[in-house]
Amino acid sequence: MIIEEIKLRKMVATDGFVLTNGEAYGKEIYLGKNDSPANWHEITDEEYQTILAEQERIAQEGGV
Amino acid sequence: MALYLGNEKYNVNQYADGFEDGEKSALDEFWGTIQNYGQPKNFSSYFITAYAWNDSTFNPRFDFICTSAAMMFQYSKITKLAEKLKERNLKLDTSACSQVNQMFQGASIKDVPRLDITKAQYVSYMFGTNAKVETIEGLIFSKTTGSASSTNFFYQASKLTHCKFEGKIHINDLNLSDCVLLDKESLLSLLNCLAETETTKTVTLGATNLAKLTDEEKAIATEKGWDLA
Repeated sequence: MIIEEIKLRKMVATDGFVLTNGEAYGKEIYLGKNDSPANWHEITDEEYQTILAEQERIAQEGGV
Repeated sequence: MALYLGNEKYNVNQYADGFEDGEKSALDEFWGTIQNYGQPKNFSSYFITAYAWNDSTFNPRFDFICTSAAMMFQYSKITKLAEKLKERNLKLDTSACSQVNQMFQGASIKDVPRLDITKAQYVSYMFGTNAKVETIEGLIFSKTTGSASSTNFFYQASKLTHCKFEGKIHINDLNLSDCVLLDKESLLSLLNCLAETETTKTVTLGATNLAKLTDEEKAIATEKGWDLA
């Protein structure tokens, strides 16, 4: 029989905010074993929507 | 039945057989030219929408041995690919390709066969702005895959229900948050393919896909050094 203890670190954004490390975004982030909460910060939902709109604009222009 | 042309009598059945043989021969030669008779060829942009390829006109007769597959089916109106290749016992071989970027961008193809992208350094928009693809039989990754570009690999692939991930994934920030219909088997194959990494990398699944996984399943990724967003 093998018994494993699994440690999962989860960060949840404050209501109205989104977590980001500058590249990835999410309301909930499960941290990898070598990552630190200090590498993530919160931005507002509005700021996130602005980023998404810019990404979509680039995508529609065929940016690769 | 006989056909008379002037005083000449022709056996119509033989003529019909000859016509069919001729038509087949012409099509074999046509597809042989397009597909280089199953020998390696650069298929970049070969079946894009501008060339009006669709299910009626797309009737390959040889294997596709691709030296490059960038934009191969970009915005194509073909809807059946894996099915058609299987019917004809043909393969789509991308194992030698360094470029598969935009290969299925905006395409109407619903079923994609298993593809080896282990040598593909350029994979951006491979299934980007593609809201039609439903199943991908398999994608084989390696350390080389996406090493030059990998943005928006599954951007807007909202109909994707199944994709088997194989090999080892090293791409940072692969984003599947638009693939909200992706089944659990596909997600688990993805997590199991993530390579061990000392430098933290992220794979973005989105809230809908994260909710399909148990904590133990999420730990498959985090224990290998990957953040899940």
